[in-house]
Amino acid sequence: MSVAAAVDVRVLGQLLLMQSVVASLPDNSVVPFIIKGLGDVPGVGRVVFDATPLDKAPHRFRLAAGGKDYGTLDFSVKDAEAFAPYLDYIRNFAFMLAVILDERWQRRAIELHGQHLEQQVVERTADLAGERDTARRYLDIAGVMLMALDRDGRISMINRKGTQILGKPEDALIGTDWIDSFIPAARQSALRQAFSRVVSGATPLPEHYEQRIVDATGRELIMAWNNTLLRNKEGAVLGTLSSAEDITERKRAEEELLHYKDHLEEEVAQRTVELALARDEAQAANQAKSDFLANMSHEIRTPMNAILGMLYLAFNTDMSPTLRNYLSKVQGAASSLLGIINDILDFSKIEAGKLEIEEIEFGLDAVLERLADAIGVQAEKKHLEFLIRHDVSLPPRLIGDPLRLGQVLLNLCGNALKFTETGEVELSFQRLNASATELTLQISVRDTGIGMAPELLGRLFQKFTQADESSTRRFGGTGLGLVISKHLVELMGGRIWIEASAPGQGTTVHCTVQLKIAPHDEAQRRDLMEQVGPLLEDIRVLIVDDNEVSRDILAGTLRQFRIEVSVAASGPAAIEQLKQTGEPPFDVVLMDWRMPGMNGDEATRHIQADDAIAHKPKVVMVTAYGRDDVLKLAEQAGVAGFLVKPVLPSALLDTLLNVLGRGRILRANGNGRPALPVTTAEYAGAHLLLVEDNEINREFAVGLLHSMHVEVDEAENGEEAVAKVRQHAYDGVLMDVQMPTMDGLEATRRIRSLSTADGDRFARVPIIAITAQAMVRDREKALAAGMSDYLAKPIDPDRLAVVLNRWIKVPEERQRAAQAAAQRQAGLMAAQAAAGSLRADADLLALKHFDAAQGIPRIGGKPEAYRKQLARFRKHYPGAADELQELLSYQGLSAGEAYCHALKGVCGTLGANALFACVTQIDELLKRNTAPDPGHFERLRELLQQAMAEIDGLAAPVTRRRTALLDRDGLLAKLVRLDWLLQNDLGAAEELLAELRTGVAGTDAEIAIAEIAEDADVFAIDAALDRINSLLARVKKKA
Amino acid sequence: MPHERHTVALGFADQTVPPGAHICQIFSADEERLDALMRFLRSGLEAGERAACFTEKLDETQLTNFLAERGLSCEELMESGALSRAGTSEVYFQDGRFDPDRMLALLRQFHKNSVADGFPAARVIGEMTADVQHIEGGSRLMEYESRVSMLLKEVPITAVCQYDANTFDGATIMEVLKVHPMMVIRGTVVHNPYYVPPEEFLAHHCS
Repeated sequence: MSVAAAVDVRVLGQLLLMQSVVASLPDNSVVPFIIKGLGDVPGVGRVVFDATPLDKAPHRFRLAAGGKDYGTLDFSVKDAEAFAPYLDYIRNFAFMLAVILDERWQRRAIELHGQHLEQQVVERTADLAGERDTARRYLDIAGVMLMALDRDGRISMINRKGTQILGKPEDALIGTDWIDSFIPAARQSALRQAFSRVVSGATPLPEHYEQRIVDATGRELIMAWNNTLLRNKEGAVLGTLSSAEDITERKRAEEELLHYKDHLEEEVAQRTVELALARDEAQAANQAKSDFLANMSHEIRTPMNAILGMLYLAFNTDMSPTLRNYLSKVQGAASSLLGIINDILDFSKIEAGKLEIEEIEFGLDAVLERLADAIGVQAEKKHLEFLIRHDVSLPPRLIGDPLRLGQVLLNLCGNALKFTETGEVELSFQRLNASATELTLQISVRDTGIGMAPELLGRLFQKFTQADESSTRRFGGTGLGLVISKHLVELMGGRIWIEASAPGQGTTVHCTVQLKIAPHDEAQRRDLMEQVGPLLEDIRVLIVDDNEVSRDILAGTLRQFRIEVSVAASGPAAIEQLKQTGEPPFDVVLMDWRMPGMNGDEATRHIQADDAIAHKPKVVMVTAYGRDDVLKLAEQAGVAGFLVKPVLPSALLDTLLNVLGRGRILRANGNGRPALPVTTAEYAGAHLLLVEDNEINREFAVGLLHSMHVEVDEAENGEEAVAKVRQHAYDGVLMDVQMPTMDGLEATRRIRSLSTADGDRFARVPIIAITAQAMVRDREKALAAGMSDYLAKPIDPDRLAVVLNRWIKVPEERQRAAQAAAQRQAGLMAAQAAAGSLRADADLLALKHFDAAQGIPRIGGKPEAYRKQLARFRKHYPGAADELQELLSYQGLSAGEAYCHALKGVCGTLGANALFACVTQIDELLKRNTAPDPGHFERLRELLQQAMAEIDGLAAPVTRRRTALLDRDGLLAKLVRLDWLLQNDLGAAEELLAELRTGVAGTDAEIAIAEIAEDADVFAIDAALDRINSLLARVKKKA
Repeated sequence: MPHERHTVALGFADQTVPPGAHICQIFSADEERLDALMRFLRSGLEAGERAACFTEKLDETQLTNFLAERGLSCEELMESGALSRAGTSEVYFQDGRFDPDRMLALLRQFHKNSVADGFPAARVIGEMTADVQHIEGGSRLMEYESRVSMLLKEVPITAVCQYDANTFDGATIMEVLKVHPMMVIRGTVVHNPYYVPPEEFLAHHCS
């Protein structure tokens, strides 16, 4: 359908306007007016009115009506295309014009021939049929439907085109109700109303509109209408005259076009959905791949773990050397296969984006110990030195992911070992960009291996790539290790790179990771150094090692602790140094075992046997080889201790102090606190006087001192103390400062001023202040009064041990006696120490108003004793707030202050921290002579109430459990360790599981541990690992 | 400045038009002309506008009565200057010639005075007689009408031009249609589809 035949509405308006205006014009104006007006119709050049007869010219319109021929309108068309759309309208117009002209003629005729009116009427009537026929002809040649409706909406005229469109003959149509017959039922009512309004003149007749009609066959058509009203000469509406075009096809084409457009959009939408599905499918396929890898790894790991577990059991049986050899090879192959599977599992996790980094507190030493266990054995097999250059400035407690950090270290060191045939592998640490809360740790692994060409460096971090193709054949492995390490390091906020290398010159791999420093770590470090410092004073150590790097590392570590160090590169050189006089003697020799010429054990024997060496130092054998035969040799040679390479700073110091009999201070327990000294110390067997007015505090201190193998006398105030010191030569006095009757400062002054016959006993006896007033000026006051040292309340057992170590010197005789007594207790204490920390009953640890973890160690680490003290506190202090208030009201500030002071001490010792803070606040006010306001007492009352209620909820002290419970940190540490062992050393995992089962007996972790053990029993390692992870999460959350 | 209303009532049609409308009425019966004239004047006067008419044929008594129907006093309105009337030839054909420039100046002054005298708006209705076709300057009639359309955009006088279909020939009537933006057809004001904007009309017809 052509869309070029657009009709300009404005032109149609002009035609209509002409029709309207024509009615107002005199007869002689009509034709000139319309000729001029029609000349403006688009496409028309000129219009001529001609009386010439109608011919077949396409654009001539005969104006004839009423049997009269008024001439023709002759259009000369200059633009047929522009004119075409108006042809029908012009025809319509011409018809209308003819009618108008005829009407005019009739009127004129009537005027002119008034006397012949009757005749004219008759003639007019007679002519009607002919007129209709004539009009009919013009109507019928119209290409559009022309239809007139009377005022009632009945068809009064219709042309041939109309009959064709409607599908009925003219006879059947004339008189038919248009709306009833041809308008769809749903529209009939509205249209009838509209038609009535039009014919009544209420609303104008819309000139143009489109309308759906239904033809005689029921077919729906769309018609485009042009309408005009038919009026009589008085202007009254007779009906309507309309022309209509069937635009059904055009509309259909338009709808098709629209539908096509919509369809296009639908297609696009459909395609988009398909693409999204394809994308989802691809993602699902990728996920499936990852899942498959994970499942496969799991499926392979389970039997592999079974193989390794059975091998472990098999090795514990007697077998022929040949079989053991075969099985060793099986074990090696199975282990490396497990390693490959683990790599693939990790890699699939990386690919799936499921590898996550944990943030938990850990000790770097623990990570390094595990690393040393794994790498040391491999290094030993290849006769390589595995060295760790530790930076002692690194905080011992960090926050990060110890397992993944260990994995990176294991991978880098494992690689280094793999590609090194002779020499050493050195792992070193450097602290970069450290702040108070976090640091960047640079890790470097240097080897003396095959090295690599620079052009190969870039390929190393690509998947499934080793330095060159031949490497895979030579060294095995998946080639995933470095990729995994790179990913892990990046997840830990760092990067990894390889230092420029060359074939044959070894390789150094560096990486960095971001770690947080555990809160209070720095403070603990300072405390540690403070404690360790005096113990290490004046120690001289000789390091004997043929490996320069190893010497250097050990010397560096010791120097960081301000220990005086010398080195020797061989046994004979060491012996020479030891023989030299004039220098202070060496206290300890750190002797490497494997050395060319003279092994360490041989050198040790020489030292022990050589009379030229007057002061025999303690010899500690340092060996990378923890083999029984080596240990036996060393023991026979008379060594005092062992260190296994790589040597970690904590182990080094621990061993040094041990062999020197200065106590084990440094072994870190689960929460990073130094453990109780469990071996005998120089103060063991001491006899001290404890001066303390508060009964509970006194009992705490006595219990603690007894646990440290110290005998204690008690005094309740300064006066009593002076009397007792006068009567008995104590090894030392622990003196409370603030006491009734006579305070500690006065008592000290009096003791110092005592004169005696047996020398300066009163002047020398160490008097250690125990004061809650831990302000600097209080310390100064204590020292000025003649006290030797001070301890802050609540007493910290570790701090007490350090101070006693510093001041109390016990004659050897008594020390030995104390050692004997200590041996008797050693069983229980050693078990506690081995378990890693002090134990507490679970219900005590769950207390909210008391920090049992703080409080129990303060009374010697005995939960039952702590429980007893809680009961005592419950008995003595339930009405402490009222009591204090009464004292202040009736006896004044000083009486109140004394009570408050005592209460503060008790709260502090028990670890009732909120109460302690509250009482401290009141105490400080009283010290400033200010009366606390009621709010303070209210708060105190409330806290006391809560604390007492909590104590009431505790079970009464029960008989000691056969096995001490694991505390939270201990449990966490062991679970992490179990996780690693299950994947790497099933035998050791079994032992740890047994330990764990007793450690959690009766707690809510008992069932979970039992399930883990069951899984491990059937080698369902992945299931066991899952359970460990959920238990870890649960324990952490509980905290 | 007079207060500008959005539309003004014409009196002879239901619709209102914007101030400054230029409307043409082709009439064939004198009653038709007079009816429109009186309604137009009365509508403006009721709204407080200044109103003027130029026609040779106005029965003063008829107008007085017509205005009085709404309580308006023709005499008083004329005295106050709110209403004025003059013969077509007296106004349009002063000195025996038709001078569009003078007429346009007159209209401009009429508006200016109306504003100065405090009228909120002004309106004019005038019958153009066929004599214009025979006097000097008469050929500039279409130019004049077209320029009136232009002027009224500037000075918003509401103007109705009455043309007798019986005295102007059909072709001229068609020309008249082209220079009036609005038409009155059987009591209805319509936008004239034949209207040619002045810029275009003047460029094509008067250059």
